[in-house]
Amino acid sequence: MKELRKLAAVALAYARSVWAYPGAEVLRTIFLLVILVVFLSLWRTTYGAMHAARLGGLSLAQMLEYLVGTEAIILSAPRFAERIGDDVRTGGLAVQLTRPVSYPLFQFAVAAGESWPRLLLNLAVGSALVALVTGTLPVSAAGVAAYLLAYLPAFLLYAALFLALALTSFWLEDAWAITFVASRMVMILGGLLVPLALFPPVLSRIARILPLQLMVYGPARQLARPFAGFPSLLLDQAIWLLILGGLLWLIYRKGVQALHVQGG
Amino acid sequence: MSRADRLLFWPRLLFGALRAQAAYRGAFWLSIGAMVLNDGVWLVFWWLYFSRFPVVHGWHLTDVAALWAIGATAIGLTHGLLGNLPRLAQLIMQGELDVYLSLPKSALPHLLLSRVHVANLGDVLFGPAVFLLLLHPTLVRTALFLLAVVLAAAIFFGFTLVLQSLAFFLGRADLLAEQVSISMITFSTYPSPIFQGALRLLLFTLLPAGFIDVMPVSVLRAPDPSFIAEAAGFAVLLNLVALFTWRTGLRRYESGNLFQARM
Repeated sequence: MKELRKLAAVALAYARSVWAYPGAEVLRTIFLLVILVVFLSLWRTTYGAMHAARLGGLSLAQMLEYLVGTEAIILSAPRFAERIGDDVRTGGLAVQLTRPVSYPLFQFAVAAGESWPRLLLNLAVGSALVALVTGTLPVSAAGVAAYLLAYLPAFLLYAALFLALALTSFWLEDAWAITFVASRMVMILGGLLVPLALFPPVLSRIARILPLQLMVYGPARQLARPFAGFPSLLLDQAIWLLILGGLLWLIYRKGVQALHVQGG
Repeated sequence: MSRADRLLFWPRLLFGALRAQAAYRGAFWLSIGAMVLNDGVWLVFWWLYFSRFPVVHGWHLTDVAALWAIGATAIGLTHGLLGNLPRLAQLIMQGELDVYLSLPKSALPHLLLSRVHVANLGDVLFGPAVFLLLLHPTLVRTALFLLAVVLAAAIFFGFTLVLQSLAFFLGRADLLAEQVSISMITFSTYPSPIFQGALRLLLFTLLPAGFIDVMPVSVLRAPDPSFIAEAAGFAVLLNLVALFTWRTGLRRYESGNLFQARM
C-alpha cells in the first residue's frame, strides 16, 4: 500500500509536469488533427468509391472514431528508450536505482503520469473533430467507458513490452532501434492504421495471435462496439500481461546483474 | 584559397559532416536501417489498403509507391543531407548562429551543410530503391523521377526554410515549426484525389504538399508540361520568399552570448 502511494505520487508529479506547459500540449494535438483530417479524406473517398455504408462492420463515423481511439493511444504512449538510454549513458542510473521504489515500477508510474492526461486530451480533441466533420457524435458514454476500461490493461501491456525492450539498454547502451522496430510492428499488426477486420485473412490470423492488437485494436474497437467481446479481451490482456510482465522482470533482473558486473 | 578550393569547400564540408556521423558506425547504420523499415511499413499499409480497395480515384498501389519514392528521396535530401534545416528555429532561439556569422563563408549554406541527420539518409536510400525495384525504370522514367525529386526537394526546402525562419520573428517557434513540418510531410504522402474543397486549396498554397501528391501521375505516369511548369514556378517563388524571410530575419537576430567553437 505504501509502495502504491509512492507510485501514485510519482505519477501525479509527472502529470503535473505535463500540464505545466498547456500550450505545448495543445500544439502537440496538431499532428493528431492532421492525421485525422488525412484519414477522414482517405476513408470518405474509400466509402464513396465502394458505395458502402459499412466497411469491416463500421460506418464512416465509427471508422473515424476507431482511428481517434488508436491514434490517441499511440500518440500518448510512453517513450522509455530515450529516458532509460540517457540514464545508462550518463550514469544517472546509479542514482535511480537507489530510490526507495522499484526502478521498473517507477518507470511505469512516470509513464502513467505522462500518458493518461495526454490520452484524454487526444480523445477529446479527436472526437470533437469527428463530430464536427460528420455532424454526429458517433461515440456513446458506454463506448468511452469500455474504451477507458480496456485501455488500462492495454497501457500496462504496452508499457511492459516497451519497458522490457528499453531495458536492453543495460547491455546495448541504446535501445532506440529495437523499440523503433517494435513500434512499427504495433503500427501494422496492432491495427493502428487499419482495423484487423479489413486485413487479408492470413495477416489477420497472425495479428490476432500476437499481443500487439490487444494494446491498440482491442480498446479502440470498444468505441464503435461498446463491451462487444469484452470479457475475452480482458482475459487475453491478463494472460499476456502475465507473460510480458514475467519477461520484463527477467530482463530487469539480468540487466541489473550485468550492470553490477560492469561496476556501474 | 584557390578557386578549386573555394568550389570544393561546400562538398568537403558535407563530406566532413557525413564522416563525423559515420564515426559511430553501428549507430549510423542502425538509424538508416530503422528509417528504411519505417518507410517500408508505410508501403505495407498501402499494400494492405489496396489489397482490399484496388483503385482510389484512378490511383493504384504503384502510384503510391511512386509517391513514396519521390517524397522519401526529397525529404532525405533536404532533411538528411541538410541536417540543420529542420533545426534552424531551435538554433536561432538558442543563439547558436553566432559561430556561423563570424566566419567568412555565407552563413546559410555553411549552417545547412554542417550537420547530417543520419536517420533521413535512410529515406535517400529507400526512395531510389523503391523506384528501381518496383517502378520499372527506363531512361525516360529515370529522368522524370529525378525531375520530380528535384521539384519536390525544392518545395520542401523553401517551405521548411520559411517555417524555421519564423523563429526570428516569433521567438519560441520550434514546436510550431516541427508540428507544421510534420503536417507537410504527412500530407505529401497521400494520393492527391482524396483531398477536396478548401483542403485542396490549402495544399496548393499555404501547405504546398499538393504539388508533391500530384507528381506520381503528372510527372511520372503521364507527364503534364503545364503542371511541371507550374510546380517549377511555385518552387522558385517559394524559395525566393524563403531567402527573403531568412535575410530579413537575420537582421533581427540577437546573439545569445553562447560560446561555441567549430573544430
